[in-house]
Amino acid sequence: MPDYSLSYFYVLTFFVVGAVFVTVLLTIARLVAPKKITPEKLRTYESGEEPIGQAWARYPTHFYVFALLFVVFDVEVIFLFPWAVLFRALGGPGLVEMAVFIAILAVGLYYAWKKDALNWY
Amino acid sequence: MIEHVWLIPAFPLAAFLVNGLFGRRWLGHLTGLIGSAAIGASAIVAIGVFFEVLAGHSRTIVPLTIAGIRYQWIAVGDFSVDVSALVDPLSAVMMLVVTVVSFLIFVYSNGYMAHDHGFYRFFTWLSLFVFAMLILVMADNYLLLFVGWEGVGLCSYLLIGYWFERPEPYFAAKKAFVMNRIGDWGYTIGIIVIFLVFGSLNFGDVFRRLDESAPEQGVLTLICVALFFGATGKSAQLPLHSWLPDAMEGPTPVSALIHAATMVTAGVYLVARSTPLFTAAGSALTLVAVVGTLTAIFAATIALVQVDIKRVMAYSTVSQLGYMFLALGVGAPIAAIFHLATHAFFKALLFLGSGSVIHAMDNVQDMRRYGGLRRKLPWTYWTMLIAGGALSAIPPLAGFWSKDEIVGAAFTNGYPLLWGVGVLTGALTAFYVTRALWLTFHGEPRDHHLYEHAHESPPVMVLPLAALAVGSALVGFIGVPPEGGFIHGFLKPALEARGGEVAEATRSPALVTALGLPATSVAAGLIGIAIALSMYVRHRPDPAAVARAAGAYYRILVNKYYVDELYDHRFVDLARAFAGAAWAFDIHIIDGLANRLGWLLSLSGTGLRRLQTGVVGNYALSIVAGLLLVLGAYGAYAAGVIKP
Amino acid sequence: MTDVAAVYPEIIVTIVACLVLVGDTALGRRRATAALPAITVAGLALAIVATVTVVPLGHYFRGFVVVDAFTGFFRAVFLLLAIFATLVSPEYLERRRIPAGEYYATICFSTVGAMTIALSSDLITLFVGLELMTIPIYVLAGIQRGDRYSNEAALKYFLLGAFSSALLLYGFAWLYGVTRATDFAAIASYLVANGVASGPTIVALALVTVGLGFKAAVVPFHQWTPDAYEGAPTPATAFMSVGPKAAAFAAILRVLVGALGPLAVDWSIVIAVLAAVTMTAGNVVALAQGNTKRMLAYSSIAHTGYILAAVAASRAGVSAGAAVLFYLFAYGLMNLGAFACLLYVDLDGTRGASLDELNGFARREPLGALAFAVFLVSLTGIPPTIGFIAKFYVIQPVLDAGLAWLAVVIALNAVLAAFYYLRVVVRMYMYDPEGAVPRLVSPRLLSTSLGVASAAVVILGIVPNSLLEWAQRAAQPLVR
Repeated sequence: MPDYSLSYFYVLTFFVVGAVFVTVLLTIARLVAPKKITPEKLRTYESGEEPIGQAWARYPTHFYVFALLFVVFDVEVIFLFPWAVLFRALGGPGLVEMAVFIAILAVGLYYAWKKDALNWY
Repeated sequence: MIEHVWLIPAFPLAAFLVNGLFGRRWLGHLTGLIGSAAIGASAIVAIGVFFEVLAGHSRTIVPLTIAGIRYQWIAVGDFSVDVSALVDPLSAVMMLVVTVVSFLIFVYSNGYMAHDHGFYRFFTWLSLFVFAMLILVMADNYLLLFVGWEGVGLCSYLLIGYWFERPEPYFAAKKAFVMNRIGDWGYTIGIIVIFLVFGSLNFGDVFRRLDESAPEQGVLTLICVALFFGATGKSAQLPLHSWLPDAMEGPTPVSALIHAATMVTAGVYLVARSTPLFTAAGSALTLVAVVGTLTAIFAATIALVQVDIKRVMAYSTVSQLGYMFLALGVGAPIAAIFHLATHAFFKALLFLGSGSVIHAMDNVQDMRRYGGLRRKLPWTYWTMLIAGGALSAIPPLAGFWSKDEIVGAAFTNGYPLLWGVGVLTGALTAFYVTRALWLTFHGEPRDHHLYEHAHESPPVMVLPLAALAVGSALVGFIGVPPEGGFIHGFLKPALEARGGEVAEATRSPALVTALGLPATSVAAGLIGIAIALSMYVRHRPDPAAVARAAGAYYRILVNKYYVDELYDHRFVDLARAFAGAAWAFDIHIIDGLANRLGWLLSLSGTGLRRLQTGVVGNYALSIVAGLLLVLGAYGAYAAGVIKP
Repeated sequence: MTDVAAVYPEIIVTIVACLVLVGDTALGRRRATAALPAITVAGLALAIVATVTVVPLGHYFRGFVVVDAFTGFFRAVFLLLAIFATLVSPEYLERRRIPAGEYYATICFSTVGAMTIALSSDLITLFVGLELMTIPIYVLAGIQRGDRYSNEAALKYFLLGAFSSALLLYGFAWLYGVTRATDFAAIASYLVANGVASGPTIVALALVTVGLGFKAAVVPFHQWTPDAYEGAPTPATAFMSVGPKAAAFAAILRVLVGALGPLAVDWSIVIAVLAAVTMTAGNVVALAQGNTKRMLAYSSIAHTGYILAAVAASRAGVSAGAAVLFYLFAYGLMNLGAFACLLYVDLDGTRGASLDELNGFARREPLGALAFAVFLVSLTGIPPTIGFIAKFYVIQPVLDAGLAWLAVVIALNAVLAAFYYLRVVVRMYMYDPEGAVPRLVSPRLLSTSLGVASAAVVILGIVPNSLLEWAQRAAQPLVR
């Protein structure tokens, strides 16, 4: 190993030793120290204000299905372009392989359609 | 095996670390198993070491080396202290006794403490105690011995105050600690003077220079008195005895291990180890003998009237320790160590048996509420009977051989008065033992409710009792024939005084004394037993009537000669005034600094959460940290920093 | 067309997956519940038949695919595990209203991915297989959409999985940069020819170690495991804990032992330390768990450690590789079985069985409890079970490779593990049941498959030779 990388290695060693040292000390402290939990300590911190409601709030996610389908077919198209460019070179086997690829995606689309994933409620 | 002698304290230390760090949250009752296994391993190594010493390695120094590097503890100028183990017959015997008895008591504790909520804490401190005790007996210099000395004191404090929710254990723990610290003051002075006189703290160097330079008699006496003062604190001799009976507030296995079998014998060990010094300073020896004898009879008289079974045993321990100091004082250190070993077995057994009774009787310790328990607790009864016989010096049980040798030595070495007191104490001992056993196991049950619910202890507790009973019956035979037994030949190289004329085995007493002395002892014991039986079985004379007749003297005994009251009034008040001033200094200067420091630490502590936080970001962070570690390891390996 | 013939089993499983999806929508709800598992099992069984390959051993698809004894072993293991997972699931899926079609299809797709790893002879094939194996598992973890824990499990697994995949891919990129090859054999010969352990190689090695270590749940890259295993529906957990792990080890063997084998001097000690840490951490934390499902999750981490120990011993030759394969087989059987046994008590409103819920299980469900006990005893590594043989065969190469300390760690861990495994057995047989617990409606399929599996655990523990010989043949291609 050349000298310059060895000096970086010292830096790395220092980093690791430092991290390990702090971790070990704090871990021992954790193991030894008692822990007393009160509701105040567990409350969500909102810059000193009284928290309103839960941190786990629901929000509408209607669009994700469309986003997913869009991505799937987007990727499909991206895959189709290079195949189209090299259509002649790839020949018959290439056509079959692409057909299989599209067929599998078609099964997925069929399933999504049948499961009402394409309807907007 | 001797080169691995450091394994002996290493196992308990490991058990302490594992139990202390992981016990509360994860191990729970596993801590008992871990502790017992560790001490068991130590005991095996100790047995190996013992046999090697037996095979002729009479004196070996084993420095502590870690990864091939010899550990030097202190090196300032030409003063250096190594952490080295001195392995000779004396320390081999001590290691053996400490580890074997500890192991049995650990096993017993698994049953005794099974329902206690602080289980892990108990085994953590107990493991630490064994570690410290082993350091104490293995040390090859006065300073390392002091480390173990303080370590056992700390553990004793923690374990007496084990049930700190109640006030009594808490106060008892504090009392024990303070009394021990008073003794330590003497010990510290002793070490300082030793260093000033001899320029070293190493046993070998000190004793060699003692022979070479023959220092002034007064200085030697000062050293010995100071060391002996330390010993009185640790071994509960007059005037620092009063903490030991109070220490019975701790759990019973603790009483058995620390306050009967091992720690309280540290003072005896210290004086025995320093035999050359004490021999050279002759007057100090006389002091040791007188204090020991006084303590023996003083404690035995108190034990006559106690009603708490553990307190009887506690005063008995104080009394028996007095015998050991008597032996040291009259120039029979081998007899002292012999009695130390036998006493460790039968007194540990008496305590554990008492624990078994207390366990069965719903934690009641008052013997007046016992009675008739031999039918309910047959194992406990028979084992305690053996131990009681040994304590009363009934031949051929262990206590007979060792105690008889001590009183015999007092006579043959020219202390007939001490011999007389020793014999009388023997009679008293037999009396209170018989009284305690009778009140507990015979007669009619005096508290029927408790009696109905009594039950024999589980096997994990009974087996150690049985093992100790075998020991109590048989250990004495290592000292047969008297003054020419196995133990004498074994310990002689370690304890034979340099240049002194103490060798007691060289004197061959006349046949009359050789037979007459033991006969007197046994007769005294039998008389004690007979009086006790007559009083408690046939009520002739009735114990209550005797108490009334004794009047004032009885009250003095019940109140333990008012020693506690005396100390409270005279010393504690004085100390309190001084403490007030110290407190003011502490709260403003020391605490002020500590608070700043703690604030800094807590600031950095908030950053660290539990490893399994459930927060994805933290997990990703740990992956990155792991990546860096792996990268570092590969890099270090490839760069040749780490060799496989 | 021999190229296509080389991957018949994979094609069959893909078609089965598509069929299941179509069938789910085409058939009525009632018929689907019965038909879908039948289709799946039949299709997977057909794929097993197809693994008795019609093409000669060798490379296909211009060297992107290899068919050898190793491939055959893993194909069979993956398919068997998928069948087992399918058989234990139907009753639970119905009770919890989990979409059955998606469930079976996902298992099939994941299995295709795992098989692709087994037949890869190139970094690209391997990575595609790895992703194809993992992504369905994310879905599987979150398949119970109404359950927030299931959602949490899926999301965590997905985020961290993507993260680790990125690291792995980054490592592959470095490897390509150094060796200018993606083919395993070419990488290995480059490393042999050009010396080893230069800076970039080490970076690549570290990234690959971490990426694959994550998939196999090696400490400290394991933290997704307990959360994902606990949150996922129990039959999904059962499959997740074995299929992907076996696949991850297939990948580790292919990449670390195969392609990076020349660097073994560098990585074996690091892997050995990781193995020791993994098994110890897994066991110690498992000790403290009061929830059986989470306990089994941690214990599966510990088993990763044992398997990794055999990987670390790879310089011991064939016996090390065989130990890995044998252990994976044994682990798959017993761990999937153990998780599946939780299905008896994993009812609505519970998150896996707490220890208390298992009290007196032997009296409520004698056969289930017996099977569970057999699996646990085997996981502990007590003879005469396959788990014992597996541990035994791991220790042998570890000693041969000069890693005696690691063998000691393994033995100590086995003792540690006994405590929490046998605690469950004690609970089942020696405690009284608490409260009335509703029984499964018809656990016949579950009981039957668990019975067969537990019988296999014992029988293979008594006569392990043929399985071991198979594993040894399969490990042969790894040795150069």
